[in-house]
Amino acid sequence: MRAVILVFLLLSSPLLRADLVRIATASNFKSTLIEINALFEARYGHKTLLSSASTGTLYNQIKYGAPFDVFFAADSASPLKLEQSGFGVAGQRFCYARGSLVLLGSKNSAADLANPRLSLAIANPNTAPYGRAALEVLHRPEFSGAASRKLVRANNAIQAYQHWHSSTVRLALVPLSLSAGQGTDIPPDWYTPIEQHVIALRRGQDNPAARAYLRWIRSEKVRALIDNAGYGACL
Amino acid sequence: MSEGELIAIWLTLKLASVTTVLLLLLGTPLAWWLARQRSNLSAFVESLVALPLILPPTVLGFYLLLMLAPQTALGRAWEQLTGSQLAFSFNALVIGSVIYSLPFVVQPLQTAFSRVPVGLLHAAATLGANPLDQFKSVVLPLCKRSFITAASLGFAHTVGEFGVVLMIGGNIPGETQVISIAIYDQVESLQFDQAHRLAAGLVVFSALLLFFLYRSNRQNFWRLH
Repeated sequence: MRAVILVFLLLSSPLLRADLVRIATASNFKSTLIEINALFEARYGHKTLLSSASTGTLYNQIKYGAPFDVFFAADSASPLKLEQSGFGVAGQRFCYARGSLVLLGSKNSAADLANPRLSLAIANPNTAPYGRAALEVLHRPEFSGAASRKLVRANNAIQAYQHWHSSTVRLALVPLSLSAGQGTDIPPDWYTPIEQHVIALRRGQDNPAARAYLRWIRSEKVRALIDNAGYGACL
Repeated sequence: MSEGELIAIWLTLKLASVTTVLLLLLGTPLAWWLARQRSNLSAFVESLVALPLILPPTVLGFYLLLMLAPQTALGRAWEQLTGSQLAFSFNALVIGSVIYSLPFVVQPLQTAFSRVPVGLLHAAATLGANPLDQFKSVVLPLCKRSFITAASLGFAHTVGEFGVVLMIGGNIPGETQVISIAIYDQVESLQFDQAHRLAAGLVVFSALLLFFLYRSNRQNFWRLH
């Protein structure tokens, strides 16, 4: 009997609080969001919980019922699909950042991308929008001679960066926001523009903290933080 | 130690404790039945129990995710009964862990139960002991050591879980982010110092647990011989 009582005591979760915003973010935006959330907590007194993975992974988790109030994707397609399938709130979806690609470990992106001897890390194109953009770059005809190179597919953009950071690979195609001023820019017309959209999820609809959070995301202050982190303004 | 790390440690200990208690409650009768049966059915059940030992955690995680999703019968029934959703919750981790750690609890108990001489039970029955009395005063004292082994292995194996937890729990701080996931998250975010702290802590904890377990088994072995 005592064991059963213990089980029930332990099962009651300490984090079921109303003033909590649960946020899922594509990994490229995580470090920026940590800053944004710290300011939000200090200003409004609400708490935030941040969970990060690739956009595709989080999209699946949300469809299988993961408890998030807000979803920062690295594309516009996933939030749109969530809105259409009823997981997102209609009309609560907007572009928050425009991402661009950088080639780390390179001073001349065209020459290095054409060199099959240089190993390269990209995010998984099946789940990460930055991986898909990276693949578009690699599929350009001028780089077809380098198709035999060692190509490492990381789970998400941060992991691709990490492979380069730990010198496992010579090059990495990652978001500008992760590059900290290193590497060379990839010409924007080499890949489909990366429009990152955020959407309010239905389970956070009645959460006042989540609504305050989305208003905060649209503020000038946050706009400036996002620009500073290496993102372009939405078109 | 940051608040997030403390929450991850608390969650891990909570998950392992709940799982171990449930496994002892479920595993004891199951192991007893397996130890006393010689039928094809028991061989089949025994192989099911051992399955998590050889299946990759992704297989288990994948099917559990399909089973626990809010759209399924189980997910819907759970939501109606408790008002909260099952997938990506702490309760989903408990269900996953119970299945994943089942062989670590059932197998040592089954071995111990099969060594209990039937004559002793018959003698106890002749003296008027009902099955529950027989279990309490004959089986339990004889198999005490195996219960400790089963509980320790079940606990340690749950602490060491990763793949199943990631697939059915995601990476949600305070709800499903146990120590192993927190380490993965820190390594991904290049926070190697924090990752070292948790990872080294886990190595020391697991090594100590196994050391004390094996030492006590050894002492007991020499006392018996």
